Amino acid sequence: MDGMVPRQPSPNGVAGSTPMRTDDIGAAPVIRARSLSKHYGEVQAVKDVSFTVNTGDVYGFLGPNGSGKSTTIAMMLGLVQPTSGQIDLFGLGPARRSEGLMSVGAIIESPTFYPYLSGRDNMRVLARTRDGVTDARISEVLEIIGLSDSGSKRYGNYSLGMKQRLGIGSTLLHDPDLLVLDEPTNGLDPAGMLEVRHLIQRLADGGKTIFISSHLLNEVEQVCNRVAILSKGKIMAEGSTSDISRKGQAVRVRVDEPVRAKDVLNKLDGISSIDERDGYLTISVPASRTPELNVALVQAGIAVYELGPAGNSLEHVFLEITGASEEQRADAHLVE
Amino acid sequence: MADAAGITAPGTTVGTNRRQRHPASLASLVSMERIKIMKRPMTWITLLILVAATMAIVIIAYISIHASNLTAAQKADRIHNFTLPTGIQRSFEISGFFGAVVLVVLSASIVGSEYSWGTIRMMVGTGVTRSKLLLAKLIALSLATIVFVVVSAAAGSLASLLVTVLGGHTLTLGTVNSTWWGDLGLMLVRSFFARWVWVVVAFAIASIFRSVAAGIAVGIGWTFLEQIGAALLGLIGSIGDTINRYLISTNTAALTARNGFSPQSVDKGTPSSLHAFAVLVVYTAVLLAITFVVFRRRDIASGS
Repeated sequence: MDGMVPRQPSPNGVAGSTPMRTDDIGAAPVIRARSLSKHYGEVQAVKDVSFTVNTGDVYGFLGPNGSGKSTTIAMMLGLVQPTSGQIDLFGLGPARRSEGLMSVGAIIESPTFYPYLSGRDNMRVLARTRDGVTDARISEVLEIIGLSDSGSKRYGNYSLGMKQRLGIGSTLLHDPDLLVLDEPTNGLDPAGMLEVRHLIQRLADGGKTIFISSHLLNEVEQVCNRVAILSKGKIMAEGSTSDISRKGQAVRVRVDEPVRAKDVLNKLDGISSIDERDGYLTISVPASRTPELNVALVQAGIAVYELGPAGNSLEHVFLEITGASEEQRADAHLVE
Repeated sequence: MADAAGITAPGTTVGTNRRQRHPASLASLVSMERIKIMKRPMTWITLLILVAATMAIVIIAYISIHASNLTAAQKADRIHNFTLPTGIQRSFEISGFFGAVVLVVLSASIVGSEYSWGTIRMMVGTGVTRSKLLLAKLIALSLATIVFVVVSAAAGSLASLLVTVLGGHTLTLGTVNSTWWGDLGLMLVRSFFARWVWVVVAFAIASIFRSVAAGIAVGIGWTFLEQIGAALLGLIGSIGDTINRYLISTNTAALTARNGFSPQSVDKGTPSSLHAFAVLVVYTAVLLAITFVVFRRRDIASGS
């Protein structure tokens, strides 16, 4: 993606490339969820979720559909009351939720606007909920999201991509310190997705804290410095993207005798799993051990046709953690 | 997308990891609701229907009476209801029924479609307190109600002016003095309040049930059910009469029955203005209290 490098966390969890404001030192985390749970009758949508997002983080919130991502975001935005636990924004608890939300720009699930209003009028409506958003700022934001020419067009006639852009634009209107983006690239074509990734990167470089919920693992891996992976309402893994990806490193190999190759590789130390699919073996092992695998296979008389990193390592972790089915894994590969 | 120069607007950082921002004022939120109402085609369509219906009834009634086989005296007596100045009072009456219906539709649509479109999530997610959002909507709808009352009465009066002039009747507004203006003001206030109660019913039901259809059905159905109920209650004697005195439609009718440019005689048993006002205030207060409590506590997990 145009040489974009994943942001690396600094020891305090702030991305290294992010300029920190001097008065941020010692400030409360931007988001702190503590033992957050939500039940809908018998259904437990979110179970004991805790995480912290620090100033300047681009935080990826990953999980399959129904894993509790949107419910967690809804609790963050005060749309849904937690059954237990709490979520603080900028150190402000639920009693001061409104105050905290003044500094947040959010799109939840898909962008929702008034279909009979133009894009610009929708922005004007939203601007009335914020203090000090001028018409000039609305024009500026429409320019940023590339809708200057279609600002007067009715929202109901917008394409899915335009709606998504307007949704992202609406989060920028009041120049918030925290952006909460739920599936921000939904409906965008590949070029649009790339633009959104660039925009997120620029916003992060400008000092914004960004919380992205997405199922596009490649996207998250490229823009986020920290991630949490949810499954069935629980956080299964949380940490820096690089640490989690490292755990998910795998090597993919194509050989003439997969069954025998599997036996050979299983005898090596530190190999937790070997998956066989479409004639390829995917071995959960750091890429640095690739030569060792090659030697072992060749010494066993097995012909090695292809050998290399198994692609998106975050995806590998995600699929392992969430226990995705073969079909879902195939879909995930297609997405990548 | 364009280069993000200007992505960050200037702001004041206040010793934490966020800049201080002030909540939107209630006036700003009312202005937001005003934009939504005024830019909505349904607003203008319902107003147009109300204006057209009011004017049409005045004109058609006049023509019907004129073309009827009544005696000249009977005709003159009835035509008097539709020519100025009595036509003004009649315009409030005629537009009252249609006004209540179109305002119920408008009110339920404005509240309920926030749920069907999912925009309620966006609004609540901005950090504006829920009570303030709801209050702003109610104020904006109340202002719309005033406009509908004034415009529909003006339209009826215009139709009345037309039939007065075109019918060759004497054009007079009566004795236009402070009493006349006071009576006109009272007619406006009574007509507004009588319609506003139905706006509140539709507002409350659409909000509680998150549905345009529920708001419209109950808002319109309530009137008819009460009227049927009132007729039946009238048959069962004093208890029925007592209950009847506490129905919404009985009390809105009691208010508007007093509209006119001189003290109006009302039927025996009609509740007093004070009684009617008090009963309607209780209804609206209870409905609004339930609506605000439900809305404040509700989970908005999805658009609807």
